[in-house]
Amino acid sequence: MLKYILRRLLQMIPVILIISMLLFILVQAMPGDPIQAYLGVNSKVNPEVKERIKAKLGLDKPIHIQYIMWLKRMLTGDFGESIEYKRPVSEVISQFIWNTFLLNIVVFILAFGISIPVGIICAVKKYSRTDNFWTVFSLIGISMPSFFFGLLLIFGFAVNLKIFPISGMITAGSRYTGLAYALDVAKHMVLPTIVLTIGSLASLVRYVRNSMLEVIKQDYIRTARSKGLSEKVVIYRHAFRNALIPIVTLIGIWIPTLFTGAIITERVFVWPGIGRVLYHGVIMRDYNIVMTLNMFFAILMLMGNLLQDIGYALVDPRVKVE
Amino acid sequence: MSEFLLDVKNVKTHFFTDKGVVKAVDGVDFKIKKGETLGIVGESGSGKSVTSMSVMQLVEEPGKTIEGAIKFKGEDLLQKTTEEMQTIRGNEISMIFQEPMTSLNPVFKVGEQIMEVLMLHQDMSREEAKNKAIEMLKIVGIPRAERVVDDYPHQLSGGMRQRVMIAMALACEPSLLIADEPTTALDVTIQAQILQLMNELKKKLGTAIMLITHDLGVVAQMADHVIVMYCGKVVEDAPVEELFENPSHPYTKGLMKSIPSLDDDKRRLDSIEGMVPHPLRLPKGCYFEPRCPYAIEKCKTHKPELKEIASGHKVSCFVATEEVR
Amino acid sequence: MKSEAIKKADAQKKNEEQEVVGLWEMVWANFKKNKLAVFGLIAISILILLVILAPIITPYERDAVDLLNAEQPPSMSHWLGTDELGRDYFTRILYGGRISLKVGLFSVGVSLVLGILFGGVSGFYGGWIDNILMRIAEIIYSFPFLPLAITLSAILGTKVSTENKMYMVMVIIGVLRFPGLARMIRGQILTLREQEFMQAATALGLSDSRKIFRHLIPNTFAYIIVNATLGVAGAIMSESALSFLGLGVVPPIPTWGNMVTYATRSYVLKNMPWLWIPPGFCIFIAVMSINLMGDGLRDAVDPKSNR
Repeated sequence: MLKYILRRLLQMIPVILIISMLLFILVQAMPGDPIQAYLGVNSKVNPEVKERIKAKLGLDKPIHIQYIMWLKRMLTGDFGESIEYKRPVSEVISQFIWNTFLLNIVVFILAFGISIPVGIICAVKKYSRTDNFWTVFSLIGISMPSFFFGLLLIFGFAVNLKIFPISGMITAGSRYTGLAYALDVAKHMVLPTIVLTIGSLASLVRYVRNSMLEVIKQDYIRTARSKGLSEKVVIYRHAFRNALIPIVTLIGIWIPTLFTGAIITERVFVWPGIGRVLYHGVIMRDYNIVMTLNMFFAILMLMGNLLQDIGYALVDPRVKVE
Repeated sequence: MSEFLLDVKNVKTHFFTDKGVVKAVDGVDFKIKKGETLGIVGESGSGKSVTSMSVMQLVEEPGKTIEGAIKFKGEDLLQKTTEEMQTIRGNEISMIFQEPMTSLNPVFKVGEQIMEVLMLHQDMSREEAKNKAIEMLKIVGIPRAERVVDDYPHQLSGGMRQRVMIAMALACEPSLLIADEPTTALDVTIQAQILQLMNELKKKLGTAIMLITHDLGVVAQMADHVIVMYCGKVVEDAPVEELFENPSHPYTKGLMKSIPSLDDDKRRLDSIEGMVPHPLRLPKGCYFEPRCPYAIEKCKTHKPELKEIASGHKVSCFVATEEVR
Repeated sequence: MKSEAIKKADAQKKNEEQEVVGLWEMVWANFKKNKLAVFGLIAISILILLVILAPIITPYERDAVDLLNAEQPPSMSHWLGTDELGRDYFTRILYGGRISLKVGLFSVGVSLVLGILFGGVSGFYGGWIDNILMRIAEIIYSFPFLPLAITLSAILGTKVSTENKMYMVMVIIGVLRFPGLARMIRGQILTLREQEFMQAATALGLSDSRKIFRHLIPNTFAYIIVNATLGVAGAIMSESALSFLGLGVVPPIPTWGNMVTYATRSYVLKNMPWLWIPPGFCIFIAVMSINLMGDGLRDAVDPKSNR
């Protein structure tokens, strides 16, 4: 197993290199004068000084040399400075990423905690009232743009009913500590959590249901029944253990999204997460942020694929990873 | 209590589909004595598998057994509750299926799957069950049973898996084993081995077998008594020797002709002309009439009934019963 | 006697053959039975019709400014009120729908072209060609969609005029979404390639491109169409998200997505719901109808599937 993981990680290196090259080329194609950006938009410096800075930063070198220099810096953990936050990119990321994680881990637990039992019930009682309800629910959830849904919730629950705060993560100007602080954050989390959970549930319930239906029609389920096992054992032991295989692979893909955040939801609810940092970076042309985050997300997704395969090997005895 | 282990009377299992009612099993009668093997023969779609699922009370939606009685040891299974059936399934009546490759659960160890029945029906502890599982694997002729017990199904060949299925089915020493095309998916040599194994175990354990197959060769080798099914009805019912010596229904005759035989120098095997009629558009008269080379006018409009033509030999065919008279 | 039996059997066969019809007749027959799917088809048809007939339906111009009547609530003369420049909002929703639906359709077109090319060639040739093409697809696939889409949009956006933004959005969505389609087509081709009619095609000496694009791809059309239909729904969603974020199609050209952006101003959110609820609702209805249709098509193509 360890060998397999190592091999997969090694195989990832060329892919990551290619991705980094593509990103680097993209960023080179970005408009704007990096020297000016480095000095600040309003500073006036004579061209000679500019040339010197250019040489110092290595920007006078050919592009492939620049790429290697950039790569070296990235590998040593130096992601450059954020223009907007005036701080190293790594600091900015570590400041905001946990807000994203907090929101997403709650959504993750809710989404899987609800969709697995619901999906099973829908599959077992196919076309029942429960199943039909969730089918309609899924359809609406899949078709509802998250920003529109978020705005509707704000309009209803925050603006009109005033039950929940409109946006942000903590009440502005508040100095809560301890439990009061946690409660304040929790209140702010409710609406974005609803948006993200319902969005995820819509597709997850469908997925679990269909995986379960696929399993229920297999011959070994008939065998299990013919052994005199109760329906409960047939469904929750024999069937579910098999349906778990596709579900576990799905969890593998989901783990990276805990960190990549939800740009739209974070934007609508002004949640100070990593998705918003990227969005602002894009708007403000904060290239170091944009580069680093895209690179980070791509690596996370690749890791997700690996996790998926490992999960597969763990739950399916037919899969051997060697 | 009658002398019969299983007494099936006028069982009707119909499927209520959107397009109409499919009468998969439509008034079937048969009996199995203790320790006897009954062969049920027919093409796919003749209702033989649904018959077996009806006995197990495992017919799936939208199917339902709507009429008749299935007396097992004198008690009607159709009157039993789900819980009562669960104590019978796998314990007193068990079943093996056509597809050994897919009939075992891929995520559980082979031993685990055998142990499950033992722990459920015989109140065994895990350890006792495991020992018994190993013993059963040995009985069905699996070498290195101590190791195989911890294998997953995908690590075994088709023949081995069917042996495991048999071990699982016989673990609680049931009085009836239903075998639905147990060898169809296997290679010929493996087929012979499995059939031989079933015969041996039947003698050893005194288990009655309800053997469902489309292969008359298998029937000849295994069965004491045979029923032939066509479109959900029994068309012929006879002891095995009688059936082979004196096949009376044109359909049975057709099936006989399609068996390859060594002392026959015909180059081609006869097969029955035409196809099984669509279950929703059955002919008005005898269901076999459109394919029957001997059909007379009456066959188009009237349905024949099962009539005894010799001791223990019944057939449902106007031509065959006329002939005898 | 025997010949009569054969005749009978033949007659019966004919009876059965009458029911064996072409794939598309079967798909349509199955589709018709699905009420929800038919509802989706009708709903999206109505939307498309409204959008096409916009100049006939509304007397107003899309961009006609009327400052005296700015920010009017819905009334008889302005069904959905007016925006801050006094433009008739119903008119803008109709014309915005044109762009939204067009972008949805054409980005799937881009995905289709790339997907068929990549998937077809990759599945047919296998080997190193397959390896390279699928690696490219995998790299695109390994980015989360939205972060990369907004990054690309920001980079490319500076060089694209406002009128051409919609084409840029089509290309971005189309390119980022094609790998899934390519994989699906490749998988289909791999199984089809081994079948007898392909051996026949080889025996006839057909060229590779003819084999791929005249014989293999048409056999995957059913799956492609199902995928493409559901893809249109996804593309409309993506466009609306990008435009909502201000990184897709930008005003003054309206799309349903950028019209919802009004709601990010808290004054509009609170007091002028007619400016953001109707366009958001339009996205929802359009996407849902197409999804219903797509699900119906999938079931019609593959009746054994679970839904």
